[in-house]
Amino acid sequence: MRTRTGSAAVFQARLIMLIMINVAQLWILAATVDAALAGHFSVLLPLVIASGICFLITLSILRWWKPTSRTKTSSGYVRASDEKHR
Amino acid sequence: MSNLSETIKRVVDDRSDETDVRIATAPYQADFPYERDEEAHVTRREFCNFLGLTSAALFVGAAGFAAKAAIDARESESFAAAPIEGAETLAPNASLNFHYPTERDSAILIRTADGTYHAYGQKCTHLSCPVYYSRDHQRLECPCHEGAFDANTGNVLYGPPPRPLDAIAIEEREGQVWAISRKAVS
Repeated sequence: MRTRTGSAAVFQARLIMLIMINVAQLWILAATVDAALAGHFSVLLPLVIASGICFLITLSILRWWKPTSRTKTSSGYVRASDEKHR
Repeated sequence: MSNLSETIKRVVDDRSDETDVRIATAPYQADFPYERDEEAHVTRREFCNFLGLTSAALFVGAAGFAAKAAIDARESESFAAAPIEGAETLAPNASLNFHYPTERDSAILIRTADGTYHAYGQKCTHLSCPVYYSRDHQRLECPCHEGAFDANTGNVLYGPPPRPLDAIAIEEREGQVWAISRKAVS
């Protein structure tokens, strides 16, 4: 029986990265509110761009960062190597 | 059947808990099984998708707030002078709340101990809490994060506010106090 530790670690890493990005975006939102109320308009655009980059990274993690040893089938994720053993 | 009726009666008439509900719905559970624990379970994939949505919401929030602030700052406002009702009867070392230039813009008029008038926007420049005039200390104070502003100039005395209060220019015309303009001070 094959262990699935490798893929579990990848999913765990994805989850941790997503949480870290969310925390960073929360900080960026707080900084945006602070800057806007303080009248520091020059920093607003960089903050919004930073938040946008974080969002794009989140999207890329959700869409493309998958364990390479897996293939998607109608029944879910199945290892390509497992298919050969059947 | 009578047992079920009794249970339903007890559930309807008396104060009940979840156990009674489960007993009452037991026959239906057999036909239509419903796994509460399974329903409440959140998979890792669902949680990841939720984090993705949160990320989108935070991005939209930051962009929206920045856009609104930038648009508001670019608008060249023209102000119509407006009398401040009740200002002439205001006692020294007292304050009066009013709205200027629109009903949505709260402001505060202060008459200092020496009798001069000063008017400021009432929103604290830190996080927009309303400031109030402290008679004892003769300064404007923000109750949210303990910021304070000079009553004569609107400048920050201490605390987290990053800039002075919005200044409202006032003028005395025929015994009445008028607000004539409002601007944010950087």
